[in-house]
Amino acid sequence: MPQQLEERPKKKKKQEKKLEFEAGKVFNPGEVKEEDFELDLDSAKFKAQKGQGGDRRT
Amino acid sequence: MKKMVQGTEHEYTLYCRKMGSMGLDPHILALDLLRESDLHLAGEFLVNGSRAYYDVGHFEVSTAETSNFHDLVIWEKAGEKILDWVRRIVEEKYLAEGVKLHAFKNNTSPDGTSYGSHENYCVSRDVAFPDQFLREFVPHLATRFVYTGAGDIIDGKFVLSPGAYLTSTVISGETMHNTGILNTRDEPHADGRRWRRLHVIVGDALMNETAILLRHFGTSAILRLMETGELDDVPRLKDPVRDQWHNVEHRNPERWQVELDDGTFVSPIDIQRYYLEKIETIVEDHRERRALRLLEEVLEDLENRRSKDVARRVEWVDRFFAIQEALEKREGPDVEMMACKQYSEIGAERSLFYQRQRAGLVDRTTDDAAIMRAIREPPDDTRAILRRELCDSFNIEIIDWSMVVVNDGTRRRIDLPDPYATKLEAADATAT
Repeated sequence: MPQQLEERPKKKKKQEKKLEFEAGKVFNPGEVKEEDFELDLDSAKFKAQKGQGGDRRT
Repeated sequence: MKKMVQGTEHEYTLYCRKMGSMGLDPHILALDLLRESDLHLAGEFLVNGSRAYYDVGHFEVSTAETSNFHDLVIWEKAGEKILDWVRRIVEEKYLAEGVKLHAFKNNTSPDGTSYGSHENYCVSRDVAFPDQFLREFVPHLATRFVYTGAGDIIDGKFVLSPGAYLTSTVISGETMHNTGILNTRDEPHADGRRWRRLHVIVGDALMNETAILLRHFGTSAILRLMETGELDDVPRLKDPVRDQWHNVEHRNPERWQVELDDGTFVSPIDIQRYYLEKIETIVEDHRERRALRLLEEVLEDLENRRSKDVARRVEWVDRFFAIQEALEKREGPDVEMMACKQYSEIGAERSLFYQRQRAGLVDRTTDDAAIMRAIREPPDDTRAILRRELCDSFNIEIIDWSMVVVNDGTRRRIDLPDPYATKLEAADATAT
């Protein structure tokens, strides 16, 4: 049977979270130095797992 | 233009040379940390209405339900930033100084393994599936790569759109092999009598805000036009898969072509212009008019090969330039692939894309302040805000896109069948 949510439930207990998001880490990363920006060999070597991306059937 | 609930799903890959040998999966570690953070809401959901989960060896983020192409860009970028933050926490907590954890927003790894980035659009059940979609929507999906392609190197060559290159057939229910331009998956996450969640899997993971915006502006407008029967004279393509394969291997627009049913050949830009004229009849507000103008300019710039202008808004062009610039600065067999992949790194200090955005080489459609807000808040005009309010008020036992089970003494299932609803309908709450 449908039941109306007519009354406000008792307040949910807030859980303590261990980690707090810090915007500064991603929006102003301190280590950005354009003068020594380098290509990184690792990025040309990694192997991912097959995901839902499709493949070529010719 | 009438609102259309829409969202994206991205399979991000995390890679660390050292962690593999330690037997640690960075995707799982990152998800565990995220769930211990103040961005976690309940189950797999985050406070901003998005969903983060482990899927086929990837860290997948689905955006919250957004109501329009402009908001979609903001919440997609918010998801990207959330992953970037948790990636940095993994680096700080678990890795030795200088050891890197890479996170990529792309569709293939250098060995050619592919993974997806999908779009979802909430469309009316009244539009006949698949017939009307095959006739009126497939010509759009098969030609939109000209401005939605991310660019990639696959099978030793630069292709304009990995999603298009890896598509095998016109229609299919598959998502990993033998994928189709039109995907038939039917999981509405809503009242299935009223809506279909159209699952578009032929797209690419995009970094460029303008490219994301144009993709969603164009695609959602076309779906709205289909609902009102405005596209019955759409050009019919003879063999869209064959033409798509041909086109994405050519950077010169003069070499692009699609064959129509009557045997004549036109450019994919012509097909997009057909849609553009139709879209013009339904734009209403300033954002829509601006997006329409942007799309017009992009098509014109592509046709006239004004590649520097195009590169500000079209990702495959900008990625190609980034690769060429890398080749001018450095020699070696892997430079092309390095630059191609590093373009899609999400860490701003390593990403070639973000380096170019900082240099003012690409156009933005939003700003960091809006993205920052979207990291903590769901859109306020879709079901995402309602789900958040329920989670803030109740103890949640089970949560999914379209329902929650709460327990405040009485265990109740609350259905959320309307993705546009921001208030609860009394009839949707049921004791279990």
